[in-house]
Amino acid sequence: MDAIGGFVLTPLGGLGPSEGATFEGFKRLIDALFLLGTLAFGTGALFALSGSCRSARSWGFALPRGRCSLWRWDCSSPARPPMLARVSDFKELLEGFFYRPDEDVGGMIELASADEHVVLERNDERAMDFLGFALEAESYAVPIETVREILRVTPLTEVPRSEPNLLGVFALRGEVIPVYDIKRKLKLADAYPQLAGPYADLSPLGKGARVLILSSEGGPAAVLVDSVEGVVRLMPSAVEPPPRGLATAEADGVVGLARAGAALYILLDLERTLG
Amino acid sequence: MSRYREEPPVPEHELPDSAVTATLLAFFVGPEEYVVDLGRVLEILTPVPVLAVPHTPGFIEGVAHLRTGVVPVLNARLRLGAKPPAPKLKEKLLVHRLGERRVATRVDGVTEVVRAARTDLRPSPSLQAPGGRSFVLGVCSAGGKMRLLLDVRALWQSDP
Repeated sequence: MDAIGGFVLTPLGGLGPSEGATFEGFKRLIDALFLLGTLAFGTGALFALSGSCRSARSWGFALPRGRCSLWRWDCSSPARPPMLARVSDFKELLEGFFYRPDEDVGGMIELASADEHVVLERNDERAMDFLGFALEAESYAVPIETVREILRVTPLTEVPRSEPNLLGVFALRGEVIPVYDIKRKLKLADAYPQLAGPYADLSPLGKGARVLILSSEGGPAAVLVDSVEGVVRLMPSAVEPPPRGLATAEADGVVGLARAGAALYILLDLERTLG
Repeated sequence: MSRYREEPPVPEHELPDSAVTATLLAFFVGPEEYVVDLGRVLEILTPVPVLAVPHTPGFIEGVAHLRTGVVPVLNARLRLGAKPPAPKLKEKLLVHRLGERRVATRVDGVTEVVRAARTDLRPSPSLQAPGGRSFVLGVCSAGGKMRLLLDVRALWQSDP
């Protein structure tokens, strides 16, 4: 400082009659002020470049504690991400962009009512699909996986000296399939329909009459029904055992009763009904 | 004997980045187009009625009953603070996975499925205010368009 003062003041002190010397003194004064300004600016820039508020504090600058709003981010909290994402960080960011089932979902917004696990626990029983069909006025149902195909009724081939409930056979894609009647067994009809032989008559069957082809253990077998109603979803809890004291239920293959809405279905085990 | 020996398949992590493709779903939120990983998306639904849940942040609309359960619904436009979208877009509910969970995000219109190479995905300088959270991970420049990579996990993260 003394050097600068001397540098400026020497020509001023020696202020003589000459005007040139005064002018020289002012020029030096302006030069010195410029030098000082440059120095101050340089110091400030140094702090800004170092990017650390802490270094500024250590130099004795009075900065507000905690948050330095002058600087770009608060350096007192160490986990603040930098403004510009580096390329190596980007790979990590992309990891989060693509879905992984085991990704970290901590801190996600939770809505108590939206917790799916709660809903799933309540409905832990699985609905089962049944095929509903009609015999006379009642609805019956069998597990859908026991039915392989549903076909329209065609004239059948007569099998001589067969069981009375065997209505006949027909060929389906190179397979001979026997067609059985279950209505007589269930005491829903007095006579068997005549679907095979020279006196075959399909006219008593309604328009909806179908043949259900079952995938039973002893090869395929078919059952004649009056109409097919469709797939019925039943909860296991909605199925009740057949009423007690129904001696014929066991023999007829009735395994239960189920309610689906307003309709009541009689569940059949067709293998037992046929056997 | 065949003159050609069959090369063993190259594992994905050894392929150059330009060969690894990602399948992304592009959609609008406000006037901007965003993409998310298609592997995350389960369904795109036309909006269903949403039941408002009290005491939730403003961007959480409530819960919607889908066929297979109840899912929370978030409004992406409110969450991102975006401007209103172009009027011709049709709002959709994006049902997607979040870890093990299933959630729905309301977006302003689904446009297309984009196949992008890994090199098409680039970081973008974050322009957020220091205190704000970033929902954008980068940009995708596949198909001659710039789209923003939306961080859906951040979208669903509750604010500190």
